[in-house]
Amino acid sequence: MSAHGDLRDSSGIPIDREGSTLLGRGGEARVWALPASGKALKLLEPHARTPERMRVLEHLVAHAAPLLQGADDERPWGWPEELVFEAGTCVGYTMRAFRQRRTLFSVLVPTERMRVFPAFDARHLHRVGANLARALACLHDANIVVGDVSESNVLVASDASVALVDVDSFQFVDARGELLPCPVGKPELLAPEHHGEFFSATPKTPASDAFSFAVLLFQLLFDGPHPFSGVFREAGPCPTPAEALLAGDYVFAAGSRLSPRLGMPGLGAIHPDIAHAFERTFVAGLHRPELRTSVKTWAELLDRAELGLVRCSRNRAHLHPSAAKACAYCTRADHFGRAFETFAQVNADELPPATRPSMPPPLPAAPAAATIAAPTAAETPETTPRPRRAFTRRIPALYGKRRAHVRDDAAVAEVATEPQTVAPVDARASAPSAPSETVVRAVSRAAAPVLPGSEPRATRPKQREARAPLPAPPQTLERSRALPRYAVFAALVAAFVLGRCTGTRAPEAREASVTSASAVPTTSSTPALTRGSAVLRRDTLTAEKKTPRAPR
Amino acid sequence: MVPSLALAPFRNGQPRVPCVLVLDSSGTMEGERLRALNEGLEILWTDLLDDPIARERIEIAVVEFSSDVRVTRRFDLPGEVIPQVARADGLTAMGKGLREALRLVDERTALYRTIGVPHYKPWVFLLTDGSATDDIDRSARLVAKAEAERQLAFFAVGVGDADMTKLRRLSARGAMHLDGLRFRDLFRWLSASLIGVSVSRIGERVPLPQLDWSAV
Repeated sequence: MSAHGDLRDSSGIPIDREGSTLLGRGGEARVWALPASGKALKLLEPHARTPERMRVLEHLVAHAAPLLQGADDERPWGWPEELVFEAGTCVGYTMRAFRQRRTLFSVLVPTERMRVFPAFDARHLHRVGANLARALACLHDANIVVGDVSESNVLVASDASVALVDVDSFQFVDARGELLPCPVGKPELLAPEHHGEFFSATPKTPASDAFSFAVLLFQLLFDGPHPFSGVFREAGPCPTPAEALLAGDYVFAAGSRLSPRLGMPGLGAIHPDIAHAFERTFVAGLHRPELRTSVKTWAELLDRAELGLVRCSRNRAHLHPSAAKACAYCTRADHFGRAFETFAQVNADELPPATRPSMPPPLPAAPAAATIAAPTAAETPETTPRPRRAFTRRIPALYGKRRAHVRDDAAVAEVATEPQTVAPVDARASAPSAPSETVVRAVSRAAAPVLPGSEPRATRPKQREARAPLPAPPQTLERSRALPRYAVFAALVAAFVLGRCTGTRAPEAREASVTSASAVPTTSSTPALTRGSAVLRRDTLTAEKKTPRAPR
Repeated sequence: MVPSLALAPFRNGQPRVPCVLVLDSSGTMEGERLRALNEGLEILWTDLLDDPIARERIEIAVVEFSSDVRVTRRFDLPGEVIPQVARADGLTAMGKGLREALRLVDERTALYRTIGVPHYKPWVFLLTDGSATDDIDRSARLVAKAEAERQLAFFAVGVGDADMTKLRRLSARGAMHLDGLRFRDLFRWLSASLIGVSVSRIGERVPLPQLDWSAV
């Protein structure tokens, strides 16, 4: 038991902590099981009890009702149900207890998976992926973006059902119509548009979740390795997964500087459609979120691929796509020995029916793309909404080092100048949503007396002001203003490279780039920049993607 | 070609945090000090094995130095056998011990590269209660070079009458002096730091836990 003393819920009823056991702990909180009520109790560490966090919790509890209805597998998330107070201060919340579950990490790591879920075979791995995709799709339909989809926020049970926890870091729009951003993330799981300086300012989209999901799914289906890690083909220091991700070095991409690591099952382990969906996400969709495979499509693809798995004739524990010429796991065992067997048990049981989370009524819609762009424009520290504490801790000086890198500069510049970077959330999100019952309830809850321990009322108007969307000026203008240093640099490099590499087009190119460089502080410079980065980047597909804009 | 035996530990698909413990097993460590050190190593082991992510990522090697240098554990994930310093006698061949540690690190990171395993910055953790009896200048240069190239995190800890002036010269980070026999706290700090690194992102600067065992 921890040092916490008398805990009460919002109506003042004491929380019975008799026989509680620690379920897990992270940097910001501990989670306890409460046998008396059958619930779980998440207690925030003192440093995590910020006013922003309290506001988020208040909002989540106000919106809990529609997301808590139905059977357990229809609501696969640890939604806060009741706030918990200690001496009048909110210290955490209660939620549904998830028993007999492991984090997705234990399933991604094949050796650990063999220990905790020995009966899992390829069907289960596909099913875990599909269930996670469905849970995400369901949240997206309710205008919620998870933002920090990671191996530690997903819990898996032995029937391959999944549950999302750390709901208090989800990104959504509160009852006042303000975007509460997701403040955390791991670079090796984050889509490129959220890397670098723009991290806090760029709102996450369903396409950001789709990217993180694809990274985790890749690790799930290929026995653990990150899709942007492998054997570095060139001299010099090997890029970290996050660096390789920005540079577009997907291991199975043509022209990647990384080749698959030794001992990894080959592409034959997955259905060609899945391989194609990975390629869409990691190559074509790397810097173009709208091209990424959506979580809904992932769920369908994975369901179909699971049905198409056939048992290997040599090793009955292996399952492989029917189209595969040979079993990828047997091929690996032939090469690297039996130590690499990651499926030890023949499991002939039928899988239980797939979980299908029910669609909750949508929460308030995210502001349309134009308003979403506003925080991006607010680059200066005075106007940027104060990030929640977790963000400041988890995104430290890492990028200072990377900024010196030409390739990454180009990538960042490209991301920022790409007009479609902030994808319209989805049709439902951009359409004005009817004031559903949920919204009405939320508004009435918001008007209710302030809960003890929540931020004092006096500070609210100020915060609202800080978060209020700025009048949206032309998007390109704001974006280029946000990155003068990169833009100037990338444009100069572009001019230099074009000048050296292309004989006849050199004068024209140099002229274009120089114009853009001098014009950067005030106006858009998209064509020159994109052309420059296409030359700098060696990723052929991106270059191909850009060619229509650089007429030959 | 990498033999499949060497490849087998990497089948978990996880990135690695390599850490070499360079431990003094000279005559002066004998007795109470050695017992406390071994107890500390046990604590390190339990902590690492208790952490689900750390035990898949942190690889520990152990180099002991006295009159000569012995590699008593090669790089591997924490397993069933707890590394212990069996006996302490002889001189303090610290320079040679450090060079051996750096060689092990180079060898390991080269293997990571061949296999395609991403890794975090390697750690070299030196613990001594004396003064080097061999040439330490060359080792100091190697350490300084590796640190300057951001290829290494080097920690030096002195116990008892350790020559702190010489130790401080080894690394830009300086050296720490262990308060009495607080090996438990030292290794608890080491495991907390390594676990912190193992769940961080590769290349990130990780704030280390407070040093409460050191009297600098």
